[in-house]
Amino acid sequence: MVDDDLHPELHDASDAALVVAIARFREAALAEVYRRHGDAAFGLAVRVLRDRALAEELVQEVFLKLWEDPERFDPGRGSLRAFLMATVHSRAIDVVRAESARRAREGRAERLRPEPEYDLEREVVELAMAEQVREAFDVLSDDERRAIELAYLGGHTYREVAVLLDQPEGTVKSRIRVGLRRLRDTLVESGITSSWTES
Amino acid sequence: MDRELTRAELDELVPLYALDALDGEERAQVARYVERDDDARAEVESLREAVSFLPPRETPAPASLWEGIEHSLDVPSVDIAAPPLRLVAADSATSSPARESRLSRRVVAMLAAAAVILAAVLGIQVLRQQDRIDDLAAEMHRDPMEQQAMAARGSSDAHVIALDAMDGDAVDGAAGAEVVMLPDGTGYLMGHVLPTLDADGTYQLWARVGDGTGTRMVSLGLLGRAPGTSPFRLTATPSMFEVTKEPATGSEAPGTQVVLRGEVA
Repeated sequence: MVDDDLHPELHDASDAALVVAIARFREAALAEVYRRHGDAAFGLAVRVLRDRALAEELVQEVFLKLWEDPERFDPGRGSLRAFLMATVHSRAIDVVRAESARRAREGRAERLRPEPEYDLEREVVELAMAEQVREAFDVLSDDERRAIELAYLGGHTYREVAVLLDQPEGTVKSRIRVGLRRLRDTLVESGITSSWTES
Repeated sequence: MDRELTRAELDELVPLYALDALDGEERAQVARYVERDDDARAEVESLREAVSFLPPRETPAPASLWEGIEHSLDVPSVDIAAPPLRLVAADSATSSPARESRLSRRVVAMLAAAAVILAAVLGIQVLRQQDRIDDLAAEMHRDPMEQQAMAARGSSDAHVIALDAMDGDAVDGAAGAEVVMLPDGTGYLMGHVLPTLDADGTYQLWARVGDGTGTRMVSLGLLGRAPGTSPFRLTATPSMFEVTKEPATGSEAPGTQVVLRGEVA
């Protein structure tokens, strides 16, 4: 367990301050980063990989990478949360696609089908975000949200999403693009993104 | 895919790249585009910021995850040099006195050389570590003005003008800068390397503006001896920007010591 009661000063530290402390080999700073973002990183990895053991291994690797190369995080380019989540997502996608390619080589073609877990109503409940964040996601149409979730949480390419949803690729591309930008703009307007970035 | 994507196609795919929803050659081409295009990179960063809120947050990570991380942390120790010394002592204990004497001298010499190398290596590591900390600390203390300038630079209607260091001996060590202009006349000088001037000098920013009767240089402000990111306002249309070295009180017209210059395309 992360025992950060011994370092209360780190609770209010900014992302940038924590990363500077990590560069000074302060283990408590890494523990604080983990306390803030460990669950979200693990949740994302589990959703994309659908394998808790693999997810655990991957998240461990990402946090160790932050410990070894903290300078890879540039606070001027976004929040630490976004940096960690993008790293976890990208690594998870690599793993999923490598596995998919291996299966294809072995002649075990994967049948693309919508996973039962992509139930819209269930998604809304499960996301369990702060009310303000959830409201921001309400700006998405059902079609946009579904396409974005299949791509991001399902780890699918937009072409795969088009097959899953039985829609033209151009339509899916457009829904993801428009939806993502609207989501971003809403989060910025409501001050969520900027305030979290500065945290 | 056997062709290069057009810029419009690349722009269209940037949000999908932010979501990791591309693969193969398409992904590679967009990755290269994002690497070289500041606007595209800013777009990717802002979209990734937004999607970072998507994952379910109520998936508690198992306790073993942090334990695994903690167990693998590599914390530098001051005992780095201890093992070689113990190995040398074990070797010498089995040697004859004469050989031991020769060996001892050789070992002492080798140890001395090793100590020098080790000290150099550790010194470099310490310096690198300090550099790393300094860089990060600088990021942490990035001032609000710089953040405003960065935000302006990332906006789609910003005009970015590159300023190059001028040859000559006005100021040694000056390096290129950028002027970011927004349609409302707000501008920023940023991204520059300008060595600190002596107390009797200041940097001054100028713009060349024109009207029906010709062009003239207007001062956009004194930048001080060691300028940070500097805002200015300019409602006229500029054709060129300059940074000059001037007396501490500033000048009404630019002198001959031009440090940086950039033409507006």
